[in-house]
Amino acid sequence: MRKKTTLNKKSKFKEINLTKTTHVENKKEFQDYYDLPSSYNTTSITLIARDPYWIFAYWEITQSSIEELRKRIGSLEKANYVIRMYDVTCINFDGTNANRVFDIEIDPNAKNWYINLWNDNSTFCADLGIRFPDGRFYQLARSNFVTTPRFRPSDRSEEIWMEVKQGIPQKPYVMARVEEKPKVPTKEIKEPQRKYRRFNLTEEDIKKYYSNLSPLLKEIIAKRLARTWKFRKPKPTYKRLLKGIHYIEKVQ
Amino acid sequence: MRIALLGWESLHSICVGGVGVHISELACALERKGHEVHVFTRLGSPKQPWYEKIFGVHYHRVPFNSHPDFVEEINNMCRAFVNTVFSVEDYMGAAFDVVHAHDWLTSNAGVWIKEGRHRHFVLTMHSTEYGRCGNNFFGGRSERIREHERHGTYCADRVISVSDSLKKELMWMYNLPDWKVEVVYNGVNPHYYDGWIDPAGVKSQYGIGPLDPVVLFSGRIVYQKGPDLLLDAIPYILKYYNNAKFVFVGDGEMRWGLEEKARHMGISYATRFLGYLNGYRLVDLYKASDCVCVPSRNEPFGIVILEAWSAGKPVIASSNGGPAEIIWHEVNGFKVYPYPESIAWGIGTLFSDFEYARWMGRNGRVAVETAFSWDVVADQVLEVYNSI
Repeated sequence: MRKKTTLNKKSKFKEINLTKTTHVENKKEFQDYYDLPSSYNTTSITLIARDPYWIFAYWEITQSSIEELRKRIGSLEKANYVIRMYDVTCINFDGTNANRVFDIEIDPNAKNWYINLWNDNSTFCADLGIRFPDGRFYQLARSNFVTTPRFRPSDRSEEIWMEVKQGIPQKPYVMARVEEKPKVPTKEIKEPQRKYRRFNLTEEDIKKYYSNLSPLLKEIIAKRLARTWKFRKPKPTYKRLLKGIHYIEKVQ
Repeated sequence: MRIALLGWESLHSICVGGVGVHISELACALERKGHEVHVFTRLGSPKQPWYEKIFGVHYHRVPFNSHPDFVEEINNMCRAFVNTVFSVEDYMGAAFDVVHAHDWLTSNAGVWIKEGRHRHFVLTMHSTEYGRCGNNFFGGRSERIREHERHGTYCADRVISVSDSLKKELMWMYNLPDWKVEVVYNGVNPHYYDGWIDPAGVKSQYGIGPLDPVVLFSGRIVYQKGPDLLLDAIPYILKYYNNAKFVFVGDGEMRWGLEEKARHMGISYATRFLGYLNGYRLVDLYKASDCVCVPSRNEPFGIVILEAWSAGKPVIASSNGGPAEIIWHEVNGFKVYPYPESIAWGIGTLFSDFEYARWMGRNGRVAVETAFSWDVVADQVLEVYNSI
């Protein structure tokens, strides 16, 4: 232990200066890694959520609390140490209204335990106590509340709407990060706008392209166009007319 | 011209996938051009009549014996087809000018009809077994199916492939000469997608907000179609468009694995797996979505692209196989590489300018009406028939 100094604040600096050498000699070496004490002399239990389906529990039972219990209820033979888990999801827990209760028999010397759950996204609380074969349960300590995380993305997939009014400054709905204004005034940087090749294509161009796809198709569509040109142009050439008539005859 | 179409499925018997639509629509289009068309398909249920005339097309539904081995059962079906074709010919007292088989499933029937009565035999290949296995040469049943394909394409007078890349694949695998294979692209009926709907109403059925951008994946959820690539791309997009939703329509062996993976990645809230859908519900989804993604590893043609364009939606498709040929990059869709990062680039670029996306969708509709209607397909098929 460091020596306690009972000096006034004003003379503190002087005192330190005077006792510099002794102070260094008395200083305890700093240990980076040291063992935690094996016990804190308290009866307690703590829960930690490890992942959606596992809870880690650690506890300590002092001899004095067991003695107290023995004085109150007599001998503790045939009794087991248990952790009584309460599922208190979405309720105001008063000790009796748990959704579900289950016991885990433990060895008090184990001091910690991994508890497997069969559902995620739930809140748990635990009692450390003693249970007799006839079902009587005596509490030694109560734990904190833990909530296990969800195993899947959120069920809430509906849209969230917000009103956007013009002219009224509104906070953005989600702030990913706060962007600080640049201290040095710089020129406005225009983002290079993406430019796609715009085609000034008409339907005719697309028709022409697709009629050239395969050689077989090319001939046929040429014939079809020759047939329809009769109605489009007032005076079709003799050759085109002939082609169209020839084609119709051939089919029939 | 008297034409016999052989198909293991059709819209009026059993419909499994795109081949059934192809056969029925092609038959109707050929009939509209004034030809006599007979379709030979399986018997769907005992309630269906064995012969029926639907929209002027003669449908012959053929019963056959089942077999524990799938390939043997298909051979049984082919034998039954040959028998029916011959008895129909005998009844009519006239011969078919062309026997047109679809895929390896009915190729043997065409081969045997050609052997027996020397009819012209045309075979359409919709895909290859190599592609269906995700670009792999597996053994066992897959090997036997490849032998069927090789034999059918060897015996056929003309082979029609649905895209140029499939043609190259066929010429590479089955050693076909260039003159024998013709490319005829698939078609779609764009008027099936006419009309307007309320997108917010459709989206709300699937728990999607009215203004959320929606990406649609439509197709079997199998390795070949690459839905896992789209799933890997989702986090990149959610980073910038956190309300984007990804709708997977279709079923397959990867579905449950993908759902589990989405949950592990923590993005299951942004995905919807709807299973198999068809009819008006699928059409409504096409109309309500913002773009359609086709991240296939091997795609012979990709009718999904035509369906998307019919509904006026731009397409983001991986640039291998059929999509690379029919998409005009940046005009009616984006061609991307089959990697998650590239797919994410495509979707993100599209989301950054919805006006541009709508313009691309309109262009797609024009393209479909020009070159991918069934009348055009029928014209090309007739050209092939006449060239024999």
